[in-house]
Amino acid sequence: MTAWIVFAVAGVGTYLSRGLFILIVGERVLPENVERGLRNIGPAVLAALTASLLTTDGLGAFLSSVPETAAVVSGVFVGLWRRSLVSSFMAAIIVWAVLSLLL
Amino acid sequence: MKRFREPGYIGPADPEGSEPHSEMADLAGTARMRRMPREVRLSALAGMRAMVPLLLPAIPFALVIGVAIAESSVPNLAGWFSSSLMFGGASQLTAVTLLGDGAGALAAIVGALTVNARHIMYSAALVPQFRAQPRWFRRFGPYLLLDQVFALASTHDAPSRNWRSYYIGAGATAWLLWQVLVGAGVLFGPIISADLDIDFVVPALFLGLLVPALVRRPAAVAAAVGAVVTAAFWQVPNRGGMLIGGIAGVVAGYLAESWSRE
Repeated sequence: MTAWIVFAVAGVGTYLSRGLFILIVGERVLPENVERGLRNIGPAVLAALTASLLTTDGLGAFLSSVPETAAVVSGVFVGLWRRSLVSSFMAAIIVWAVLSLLL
Repeated sequence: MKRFREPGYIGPADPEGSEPHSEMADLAGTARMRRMPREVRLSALAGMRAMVPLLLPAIPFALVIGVAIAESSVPNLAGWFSSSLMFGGASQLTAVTLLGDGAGALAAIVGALTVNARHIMYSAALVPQFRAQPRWFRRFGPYLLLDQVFALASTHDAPSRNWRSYYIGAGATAWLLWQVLVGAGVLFGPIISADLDIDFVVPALFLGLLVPALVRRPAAVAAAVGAVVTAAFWQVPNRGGMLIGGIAGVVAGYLAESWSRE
């Protein structure tokens, strides 16, 4: 039951976040400093979530895992270079898989 | 007042029903009627066609979500319904992963919603296009506002009715494929997961979503600070470090924007 409630509430929240400006703000222009703050929520939170998942077993466990750290570095580098989800994802996965087999 | 058929007449066509039947007028009217729906249909088809290649990279992501649902303590049916209730891959995976890891309901909801915070900016960016739309679509449209739908809709220039068809075509295609793919992941999850360790696949996908989008320096600062602070606070229960890191990242990004303007 908890899962259903979580998904329903998160679904309503997701809809409201997508419709906030369309439904409420309309033609009004927000103050510049508010928009400046909103612009960086997405990157900050997605990076925090990624880091949180990578350090589930602890920061030390992640840093001492060569396949994972090398894969993250590869994914970041290729992502910045190619600007592509597929390229970044594939680079990280291939490095991770190869090093996991070798080490 | 000018009469019907006189030059300069403004009013309903043939107000008194006095216009004799004209086959040519009939044909012209029929052609007009056919032309409008055809344009609308073509716009919807264009939206559907444009969405398909954008969804290809999302196929493994959808399957991973399905596998995550199948492997977690979340009931399969509830997990699959999250695809239609939330209709957002990253937030869906966040909620499923957090619930599966034993996090509280509040942490799962906050986690899912903070991941979707970027959608607020999508909403702001599409206000001009939605302003010209009927009320029903202003209420319904945001439900379909995925990353891919935003990318297509924000760059599509068309009259309001055709733009709406294009948006619905793209969004409905994404919605349908998403339900099918996540469902396939749930159904075949146990088979796939026998040989697949998804622990690293999920953060690798998030990394792939995040890094290519870091085109502005303040956004990169926000992401870097968010990641480092979260990792530093990894011991906080219920992934509370993620919230601390997220807030620190937003503050750092805000400061970086302020300094870059000075």
